[in-house]
Amino acid sequence: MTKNQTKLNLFATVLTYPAPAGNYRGESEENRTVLQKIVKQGQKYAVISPESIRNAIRESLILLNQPNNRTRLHNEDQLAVEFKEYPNPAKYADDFLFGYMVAQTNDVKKMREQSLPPKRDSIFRCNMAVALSPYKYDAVFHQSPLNAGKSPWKNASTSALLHREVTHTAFQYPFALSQGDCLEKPDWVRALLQAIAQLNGVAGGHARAYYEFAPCSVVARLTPKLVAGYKTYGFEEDGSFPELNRLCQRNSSDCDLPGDEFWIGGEMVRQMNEAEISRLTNAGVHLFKNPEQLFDQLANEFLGG
Amino acid sequence: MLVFLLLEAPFASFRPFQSGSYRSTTPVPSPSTIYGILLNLAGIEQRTETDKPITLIRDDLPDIEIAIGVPHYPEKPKSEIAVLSQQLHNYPVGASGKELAKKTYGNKYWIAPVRREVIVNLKLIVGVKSDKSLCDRIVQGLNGELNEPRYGLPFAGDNNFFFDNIQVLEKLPCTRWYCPLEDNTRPNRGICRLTTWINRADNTKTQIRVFYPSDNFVLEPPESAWSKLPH
Amino acid sequence: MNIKLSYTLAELPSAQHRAGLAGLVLMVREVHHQELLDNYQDAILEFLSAPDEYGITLEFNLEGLKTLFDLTYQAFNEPRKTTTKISQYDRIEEEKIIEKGKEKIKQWYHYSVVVPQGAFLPYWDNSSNDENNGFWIKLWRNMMWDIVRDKDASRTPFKERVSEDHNYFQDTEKIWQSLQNPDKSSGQSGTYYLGATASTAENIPQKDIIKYQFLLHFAPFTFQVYCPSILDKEGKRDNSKKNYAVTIPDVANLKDFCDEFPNVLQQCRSNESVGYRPREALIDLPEEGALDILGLLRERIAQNTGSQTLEDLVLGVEVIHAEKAGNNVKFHSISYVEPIVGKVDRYKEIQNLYWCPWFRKQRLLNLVKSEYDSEGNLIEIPGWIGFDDLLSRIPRSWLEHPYFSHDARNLFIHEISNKGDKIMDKKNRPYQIIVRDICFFYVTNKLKNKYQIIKTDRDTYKKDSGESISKKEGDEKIEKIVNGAFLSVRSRSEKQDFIDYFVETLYPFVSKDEFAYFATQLYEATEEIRALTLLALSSQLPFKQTVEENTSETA
Repeated sequence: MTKNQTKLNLFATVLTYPAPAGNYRGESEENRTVLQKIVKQGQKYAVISPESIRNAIRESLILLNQPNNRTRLHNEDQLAVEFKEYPNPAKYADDFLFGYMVAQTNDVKKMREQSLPPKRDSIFRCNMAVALSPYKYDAVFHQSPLNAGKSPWKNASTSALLHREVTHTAFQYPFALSQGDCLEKPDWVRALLQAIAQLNGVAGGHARAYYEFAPCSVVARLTPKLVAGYKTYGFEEDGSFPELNRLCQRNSSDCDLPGDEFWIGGEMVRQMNEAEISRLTNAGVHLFKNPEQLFDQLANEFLGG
Repeated sequence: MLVFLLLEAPFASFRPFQSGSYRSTTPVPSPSTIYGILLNLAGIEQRTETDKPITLIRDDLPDIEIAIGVPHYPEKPKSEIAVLSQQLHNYPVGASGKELAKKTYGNKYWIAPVRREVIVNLKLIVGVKSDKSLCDRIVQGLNGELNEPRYGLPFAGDNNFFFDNIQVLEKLPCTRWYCPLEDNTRPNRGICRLTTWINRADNTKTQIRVFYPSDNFVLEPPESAWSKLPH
Repeated sequence: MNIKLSYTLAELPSAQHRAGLAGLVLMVREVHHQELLDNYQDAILEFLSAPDEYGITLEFNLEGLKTLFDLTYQAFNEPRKTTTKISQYDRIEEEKIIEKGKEKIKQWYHYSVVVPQGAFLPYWDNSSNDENNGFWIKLWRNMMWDIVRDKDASRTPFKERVSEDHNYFQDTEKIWQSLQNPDKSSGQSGTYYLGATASTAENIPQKDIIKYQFLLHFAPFTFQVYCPSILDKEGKRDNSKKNYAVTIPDVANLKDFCDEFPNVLQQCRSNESVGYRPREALIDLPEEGALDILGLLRERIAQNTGSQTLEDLVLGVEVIHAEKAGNNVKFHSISYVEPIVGKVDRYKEIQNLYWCPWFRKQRLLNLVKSEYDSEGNLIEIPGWIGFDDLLSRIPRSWLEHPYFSHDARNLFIHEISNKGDKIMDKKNRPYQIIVRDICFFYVTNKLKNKYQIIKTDRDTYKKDSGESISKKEGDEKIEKIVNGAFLSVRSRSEKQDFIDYFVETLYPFVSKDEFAYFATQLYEATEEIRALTLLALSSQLPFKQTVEENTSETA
């Protein structure tokens, strides 16, 4: 991996709009499809894996006409993917952004002959999406009909009762990018931020639950530091972000978090009262009513406009 | 010189040397993992050429003594372990999916369900003893003040799990420190096996020791809590 | 040249390796006990330093190693028969049977299967007079074939020893060769290290040190095997799956453990059976296996007069929950239970209080998850925690389980009411007792007001007017009342919804002097009170005695 001098790192937390979600399932228990959850302070919250978010961004980048190496195959008997050729981070946006690993010795040899590195870290870092509201034991029941009469095919011998957990909630997920990694291919990273601003199709189950992953609100920080420095899962159930209280003017005495490193956008800004807007503006915070505009401006700042 | 760091991550997982369909996590990262994080903060590359299938470690790395502990912060959310199921890509054992292998050009071509343990709300205290110049470098790196090329960001075991916070502590909270089990001592509970050095080329040279958390919450790490790396 | 190997517990990389070291010690002792070294000329297999607290030094030559592996991989042919037509059989026997008044010929195909002997384990199993037929050893053998040696190739050492009759040495010679360089590495495999794969997800080969891997041959002989139940669609136990909880002792004191382990198996295990399995092995939660074996060890310690403690013997117990599904072994979980005396004691107290599988599982989960303070005292998670979630989630048909109300009643009788004397707050009764009484008064009151029925004692009812009515009719009315209230609570999973319902429907039954105190509790401990309400209502249901198949109840 070539190296550049690191200047800034981008940390951001995206909050989606709330909707009924049943799209990230674990192993069924008895005949129930369960949502995957984690326990925090005695409450259960649905989660969605970073891998499924990355997969959806990869698919979005294809729709945004970025050069891609990996595609999903939908007609195999298990989840499967296909590559056009050996991974090549100079040629394909997905290889560049999400990394890859080739460990089969023969293939590694062949890649060497083409001077291609056999492994690459993902420069896009993304953590689990966690529900904002706790899971409240909601489930839906349906009955799948029996294919009977003159049907040329049928999957089962009887109609089946389906029992599925659902949760009505927004999700929040943090992601991070390091400028040094990104400046090699600024256009691909710009496309990545565009994809995040209009993300959809995260996790399976979309045949049953249409759930958009586009941001309702965003809190981002551009900083030379190597860690976010604030609670990245900072959105509360009412959509507020209490840690914003820590933002202040860079040169004020005992400044906790310098406001001019923060970019805040979306519904939380649209609903902010005047006093809070002026407090944050004075602290140097970049405020946007529209998350897409935030991402456009942020990309210019981060990648050079 | 002696520096103490507080590390906090919303999610973390530290895999012992095992794989299979159930992937557990140790309650704290191993000294070798912490060593890697510290070098990453200091912007020191510990890997040799990265164009091999297995990443090897350089052999001219700086000496650091490391102590690891779990702090008691009653006001912060408790850490817990959650188990998640996932379909993960892998290389299958045996002949499954050979026809899929062609399509993936050496990438993982098989997928299998696994269950993974994840730590929620990880909080750690790490003690670092080393040359002043290295300790300074770690702190500067953390603040983004190093004018050195570097790549990536520090992460908590899985490269999607990044830290919310890593800060230098002036005052230590009450902490249970993890100490290696000596032959003639009797640990009470909470033992775990942690790698004190990783050798990727030959993992029998990877060193694993049994650690246990000190019975009481103490402020200073006991002498035995310090592990010296590299081995 | 003889080989000398030294081991200490502290250097070993896993609980399985420590269990393996104990297994090796037991195996060597058994070789001497049975005087097996006489089978080979000049065989040597000796402890240079006897097993002490921390480790051993062992010396052996090739003949000694052959003796050791002959015992380890001892196996026998077990005769079986089936009426299914199979291609490989020893002989066919015909049996005349009468079916629907007609005489028919039934064909029995006789065949045999190789079964691992288990070295010393059959002698330590007192569950049958025929020492090769005990329930515990049967279970261990099934686990070996289903989980540890599930692939045909991995059974070669056993199979060859049956057919070659003491003339099979290939495996021994290979190991003898590799032990010439005991500190070199060798590929790891799931045959030896349970739950491992030969390479990681990154395709890095997993390795072990030859000397350490050697120990893994003997680890399974210290495994204690249990059968966790799986719940079927009706919420009933399904014990037909090849589903095992393998408990692995993480040995802390080598000598003491090896001295005590045979006695534990011989004297402390229960020899009752259900079908062809030991009753004690039928469990609902994999970690229950660990609590059981810890309980057995503790019982053994109590029989000794020394000052041993449980922690002296084991650092903990690793539990591997694995299932043979089709051609694969699925690992469901790997957990570790620490030897906390309080937990083991509580398990003994509550293990037989509960009979309904899903109820019992949740109750035991609370115990397993309980932690301890710095003094090592158990801080127990209250028994009712988690039931709000469980009772809101499970299908309605499960609630009809005949033992559910019995278990809810037992929870109140044994774990709540008798703790009433431990009230922290002298002024007020604990809210769990208040909830119990509220639900009782709610049900009796509604029975009287709506149906003019009074319950006179457990099984008799009478009308307000004095005429008696049948138990069946009274029971039906109670069920109606309880189910109505139960479903109302169950459907109100949001905090405020539940509080509103409680205040409207149940608050009239709170006594005046507890009004203010209970209101605070209702807001502060809403979920607990919701769980307690669901349980207290259910505990009012009439008890139905039924016998369930495949149960592990000890009523």
